[in-house]
Amino acid sequence: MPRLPPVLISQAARLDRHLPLLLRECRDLNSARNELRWMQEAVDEPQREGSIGTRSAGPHDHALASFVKRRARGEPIQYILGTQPFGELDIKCRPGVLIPRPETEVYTTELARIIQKVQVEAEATSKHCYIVDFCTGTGCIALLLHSLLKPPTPQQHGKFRQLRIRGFDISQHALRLSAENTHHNLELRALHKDAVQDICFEHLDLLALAQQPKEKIITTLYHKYEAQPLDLIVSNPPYISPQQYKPGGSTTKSVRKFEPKLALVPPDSLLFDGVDQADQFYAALIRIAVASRARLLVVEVGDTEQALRVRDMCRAHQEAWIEIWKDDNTVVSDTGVPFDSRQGFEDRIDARVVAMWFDPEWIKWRKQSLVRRN
Amino acid sequence: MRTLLSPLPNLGNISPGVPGRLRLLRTLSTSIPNLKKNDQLPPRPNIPDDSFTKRFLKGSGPGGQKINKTSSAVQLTHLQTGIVVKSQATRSRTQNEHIARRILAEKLELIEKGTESRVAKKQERASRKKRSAEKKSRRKYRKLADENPGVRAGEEGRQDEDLEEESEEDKDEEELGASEVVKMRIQLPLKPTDQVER
Ligand SMILES: C[S@@+](CC[C@H](N)C(=O)[O-])C[C@H]1O[C@@H](n2cnc3c(N)ncnc32)[C@H](O)[C@@H]1O
Repeated sequence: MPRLPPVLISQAARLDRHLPLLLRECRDLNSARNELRWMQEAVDEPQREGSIGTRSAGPHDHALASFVKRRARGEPIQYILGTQPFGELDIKCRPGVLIPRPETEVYTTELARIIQKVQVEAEATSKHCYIVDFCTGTGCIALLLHSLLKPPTPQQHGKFRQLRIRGFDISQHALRLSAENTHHNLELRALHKDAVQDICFEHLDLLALAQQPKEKIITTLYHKYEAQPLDLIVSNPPYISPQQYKPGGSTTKSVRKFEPKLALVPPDSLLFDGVDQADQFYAALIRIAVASRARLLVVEVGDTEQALRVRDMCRAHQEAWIEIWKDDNTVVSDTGVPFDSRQGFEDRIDARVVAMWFDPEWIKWRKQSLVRRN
Repeated sequence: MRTLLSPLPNLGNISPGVPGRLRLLRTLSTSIPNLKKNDQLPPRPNIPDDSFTKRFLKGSGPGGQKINKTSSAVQLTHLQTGIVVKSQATRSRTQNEHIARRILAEKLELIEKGTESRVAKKQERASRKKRSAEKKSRRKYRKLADENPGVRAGEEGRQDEDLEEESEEDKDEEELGASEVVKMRIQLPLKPTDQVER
């Protein structure tokens, strides 16, 4: 990392004595000031209940100083403060479970919009909606989808359908945290009260499931209370290659040092021959989506090259309508042609999502709605 | 707080607007029946979803799992006027978007309605409250001073004053701290403070 310019450091020091330390990790004054303000607010928080004006200086300044010190060593602010906002939700974060990223928030919001529309507009779609979130971590994707598809405020729901969302993860830490997150957000009234019944988090090894015969995959995913077919499989699986993960690679030091490797790098015992280690989970997800006849499979990817590899894997496997979504929300066809006035891959904005549509009715609807978008 | 910051439901009515002025808002056309005090504020203004573009501001470089960025800044650009509003007040992009959208709606309302706008009325009310509080305080101090000579004016005189509780509506102003109007291409027809303060 390049050294910070001394002018910047002294400028920061003049504003607040904590800022130079925060700059080490934040790198620019604006984010350092924001983070300092958020830490300050977190430290002051319990005080708000009590009477104003009795603020005792000592212990607070101490708490703030220790937050700043931890942050300067690279610890993510979400582990320090214990939460990350995600849509209207407040997601609890703890070491051992990956922190939700803003890119994930963006495409999950878009996904909810699509699901809502396709449910209303496409033929052959029932009033039921069944979603599976593999590699759910904090549960952020499953919970945000619920908060958007069945919002907690009464005036917002109209004709409602049955919603069922299952989140799977291999990590017990993740499963405990996702359950806590459901209750935490119910208490905050950020989730509809039905979330308790509609959403469940379960233990499952995705790579092991993908090795099972088709029948076993079907019985695992469909109990009698789930609508068939599965409307959506969504997943943000581990997708970083060992080369990208090692020091000097594209993975930042703070991520390597503080977030779980289990959530980031697929295991090196390769299950699928001829598939890169970074792409192992995608091969598993495509196999499961095809076996369970899911209507739509949406996966997060690390960059454009990975998106194109996932596209090729899917093409080789099953007939599908494949889209690539970029970080700026541009939708690009599987041949790289953008569906709106923006650019394809040449602007170097990273691809973030591959969406694989399998259901003919949904594909018909989707193509029409992309035309209307222009 | 959540409900305060959420956008208003769109009732689908376009206000007729004042002739000769820009028509920018989709104000709620339901008039408030039976105004208790003439002090009541007009409804909070709102703008249509498709009247602005939204951008999440973050640094360059890779995203996703490899990095953990904490930028939550949201920037809205109003298409018709080119007004740009940015908010990084909270850690939540969703809240920041609500905040930026509210500021934008208020700016547009001010342009469209001037002293009749909610912001202007609110300011007027606030300064009226302040004046009456000061008056009360002075009165109280005089009384205290009469009863036990030696009491000093100032903070003490104010503290147990039965000042009106800050209403929920007034509070949300504070959250706008780290939000700003970045660019105003058009000139405001009038400044509300000039009007109310005389
Ligand atoms: C990149 S994190 C995604 C977390 C969350 N969905 C998000 O978007 O923030 C990947 C998750 O996959 C889980 N995981 C790793 N290997 C797995 C496996 N074989 N089966 C199921 N989940 C696995 C990890 O525990 C981790 O929670």
